Amino acid sequence: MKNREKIVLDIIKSLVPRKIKNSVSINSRLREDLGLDSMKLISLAMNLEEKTGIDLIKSSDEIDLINIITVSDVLAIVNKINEVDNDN
Amino acid sequence: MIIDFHAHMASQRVFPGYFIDGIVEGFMDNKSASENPTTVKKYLQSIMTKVLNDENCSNLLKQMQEGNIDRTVLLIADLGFGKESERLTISEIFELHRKVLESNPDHFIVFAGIDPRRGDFGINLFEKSIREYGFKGLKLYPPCGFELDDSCVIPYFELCKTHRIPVVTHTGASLKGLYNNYDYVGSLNKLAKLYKDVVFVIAHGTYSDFEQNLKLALEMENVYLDISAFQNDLDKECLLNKLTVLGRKVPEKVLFGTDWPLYLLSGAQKRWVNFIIDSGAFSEDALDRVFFKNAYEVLQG
Repeated sequence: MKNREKIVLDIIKSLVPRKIKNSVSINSRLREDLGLDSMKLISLAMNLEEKTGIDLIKSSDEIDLINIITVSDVLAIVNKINEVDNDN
Repeated sequence: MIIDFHAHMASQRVFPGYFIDGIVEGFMDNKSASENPTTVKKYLQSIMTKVLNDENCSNLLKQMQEGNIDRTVLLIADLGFGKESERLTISEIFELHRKVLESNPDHFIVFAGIDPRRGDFGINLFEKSIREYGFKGLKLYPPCGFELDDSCVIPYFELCKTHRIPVVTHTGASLKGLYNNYDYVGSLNKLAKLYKDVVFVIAHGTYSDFEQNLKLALEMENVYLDISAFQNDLDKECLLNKLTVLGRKVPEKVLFGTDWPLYLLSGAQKRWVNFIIDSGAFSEDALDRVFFKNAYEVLQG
């Protein structure tokens, strides 16, 4: 679980400007605090798939785009999809 | 009280295929999409399918509640005239909106959208929607291939005058391949004088031709502008400057709008309401005007 948190934080840090990298935390808001725009959010999704092995498009029913506000929400989705995958 | 003056029903069926594909292609022009175009396109298509899945507007209602928005103007955009990828007929699209309005009369206001080249059929459908469906305005989308002052549009303005209802016109460039050279500034200069009793609303007032839009709103008593699509310039200093100018010069002509669901990936209603409040561009009195009073005046005719 801790590993997943690190993966998510590392991916997001790679997408934000250098000057705010150090301020990225689990509570940071993706859009307002970190300035992630639509394309950056898609990059985030692509990186998550690559580094965690989850399939976000296949699992899109589990995802409420509007309610992905913070880094923590991203982590929750990764965890949730992993749990579903493991149950299957 | 907050009124969102510019939104659309988020349904795949009300947007023709070519239009959805065009939005995806627009994203694909982004530099970061070019690195992995196939995968990015796959994501975008998946997102569009997910976003445009709210035909009964229940998701919009939920977001309105979170953003403290009391009422939303749903604008029908008639984008399918002469297109093979039209999913529903314009009559069916009107019917869908009528049902949503019937189910939520206290939360939604619907403006009829008609491509004026539809001839008598379009004129009759427009009038029927005003008389029988309770629609309260007209939305025009010139990039589909017409000028606002073309002769085919005139009967619509006459009906707006008769029924004392406003006209909203899209402004700014649309998708590649559409008619983007339309001269709405020249047309509105003429029309606003010719139809002094009709209110004309410039949609996306801060997006392009800002100075011209401001001039029209300043000089013409019956020209307003909505600020939907301000989200395009969210991280640019120019947006704050434009909003500040509006707040200082024409607060009595500015209408709040979100262009739901177009910017949903960047945020929803709560974020946009807070952004305008927190921008500091509008005084407390001006905020009342932008969020509610101006819209109320426009809707009252």
